[in-house]
Amino acid sequence: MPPPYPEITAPLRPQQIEDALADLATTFPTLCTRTVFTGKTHEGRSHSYLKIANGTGERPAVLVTGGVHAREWAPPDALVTFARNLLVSFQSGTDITIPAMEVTPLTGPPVRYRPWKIKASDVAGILNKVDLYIFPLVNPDGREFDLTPPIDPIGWRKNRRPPPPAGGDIGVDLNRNFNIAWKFEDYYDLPLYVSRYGEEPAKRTPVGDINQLYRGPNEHSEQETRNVESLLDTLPVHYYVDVHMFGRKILHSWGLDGNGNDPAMSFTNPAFNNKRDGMIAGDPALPLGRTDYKEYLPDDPPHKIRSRAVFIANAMRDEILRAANGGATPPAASSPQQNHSDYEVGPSAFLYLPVGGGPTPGCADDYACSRQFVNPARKPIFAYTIETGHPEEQGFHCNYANPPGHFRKINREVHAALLALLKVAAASPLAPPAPSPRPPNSGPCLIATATMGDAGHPDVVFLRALRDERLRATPRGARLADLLDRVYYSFSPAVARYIEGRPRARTAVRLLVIRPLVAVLRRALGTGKGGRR
Amino acid sequence: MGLLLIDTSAEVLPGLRDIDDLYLVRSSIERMGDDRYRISGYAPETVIPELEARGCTVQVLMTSQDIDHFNDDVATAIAPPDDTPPES
Ligand SMILES: [Zn+2]
Repeated sequence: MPPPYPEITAPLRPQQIEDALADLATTFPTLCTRTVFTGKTHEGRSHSYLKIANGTGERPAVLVTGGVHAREWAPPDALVTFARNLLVSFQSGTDITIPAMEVTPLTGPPVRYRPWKIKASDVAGILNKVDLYIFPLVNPDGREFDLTPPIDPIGWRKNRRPPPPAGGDIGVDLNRNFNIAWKFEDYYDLPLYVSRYGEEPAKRTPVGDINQLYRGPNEHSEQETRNVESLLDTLPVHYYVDVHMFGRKILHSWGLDGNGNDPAMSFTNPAFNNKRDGMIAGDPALPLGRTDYKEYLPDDPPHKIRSRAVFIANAMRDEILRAANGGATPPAASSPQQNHSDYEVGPSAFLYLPVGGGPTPGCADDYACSRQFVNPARKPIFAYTIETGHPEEQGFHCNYANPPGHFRKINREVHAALLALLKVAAASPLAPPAPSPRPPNSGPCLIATATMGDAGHPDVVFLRALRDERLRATPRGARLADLLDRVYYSFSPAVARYIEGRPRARTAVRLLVIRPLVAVLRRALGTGKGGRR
Repeated sequence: MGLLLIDTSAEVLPGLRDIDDLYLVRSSIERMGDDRYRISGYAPETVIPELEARGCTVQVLMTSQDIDHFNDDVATAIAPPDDTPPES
């Protein structure tokens, strides 16, 4: 089917999604390839994923999955739309336009959103540098069941594994089936976990599985799980996003426990089996004298995995907000656009804490994160679960009609989050050993030159010296990389161009950004007199 | 089953999972400040008095009837399955 593609106005059935992927591979043969997994699901369905890229050779890979949980309607449809939009934009050289929309939450009056564009140059920049893999529907059997009338109000979460001969319920929760601490009775101090949280972190049997958390008979017992694992095992994935519903959250690793600095405290270390508490630091339920277990996630150079994971999550949240305001800036604080588009960033492990729930084993995002410890050459890997949608957008079964426009809105948010992640991936080539240099005039130096109006200004010279040190990949350079990236990603060369001809904007950026930044850097780095190479 | 929005305190929240017929969607939890939380769940409307008795404020986002109507609409909007013979 040649573009333009019609807007998706009802949840796509699994076969329609497969047809859409096949169609894209046929229509854009030089940019898009489709691979069908050899293994079939319990109900005999085959499913597939796309690779979208312009270029070959070793490039960072980004993997995005959706539809792990059957009833979460929007993510697979949004990912199909995202793939279509990227391909059309790249091929035609036109911007992706998300039109203006009016969205009616269940809680109040309609909210108007401006049109938002993803620039064709951004799309080109991404596809020229990144291998993007999109696996939009991990659980087709479950989705088909969920979409078969009579549609259940709560919906179906699991896959459709038949019950065991001895009896039990249908289905496995795929997001408890991954081969990471799957056997949670070994990973955790289970009596302590249960005494703290009142229940085990998943179901061990398919009997009475009212919460639909059955982990399956074995680790990665399910074909759907093994398909995702195989991509994470074999592709050079540095960024992974699993798109779910609902609650407007961007969750980063780990989901197993809090993040820690001690390399010995690792899921790979059997010495901690039956000793991991699964509690947040300072939890009063942690027995006196006992050291809090924290799953190892290093924050040291050059990758700074832990802090960059949060930084990237914040970049996704910020892009969602900017998209809600038409692109350049976030909406005004407490405006309806801000209130209805604000995603919370936090660690996966303690998402359920206020509800009395503990961390969760066997999840896709943690499996992705774990690959860099099983094989250190894979570092760094940044893994996320995004909970799109909201109760005021009808929860799992969001409304595709316009109005109220729930799917439209979620689709925009998925586009924005993935755009932010892909821009980070494209801007941060991860090929070892050292980070590739940016163009000489990029980043804070460009901004600083634009604001100071003079490439020889001491602050500009100072920033340029830091940039050069960063590019030499020294230990201090790696520390600088993170500091400078914080600034760089909040700006862009486009900002520099904009402020160049606008004296008031230049003054504001100089006073509010560049001067404080330089002051902080000079203090932090002890280079008060510096600025010289 | 309706779709409910439940405002409650940190103290009451963990106990809600014991309420029969209330399916809490844990990922929907929102911090409202001052130890207050908002969470959504699916439940028959008959659960509302129990929630209110525990001090929760409940907003019905969709009644059971709303959800049934919506599902009927979706059933007509989605594509038929491949193995469904065309209607004559
Ligand atoms: Zn989910």
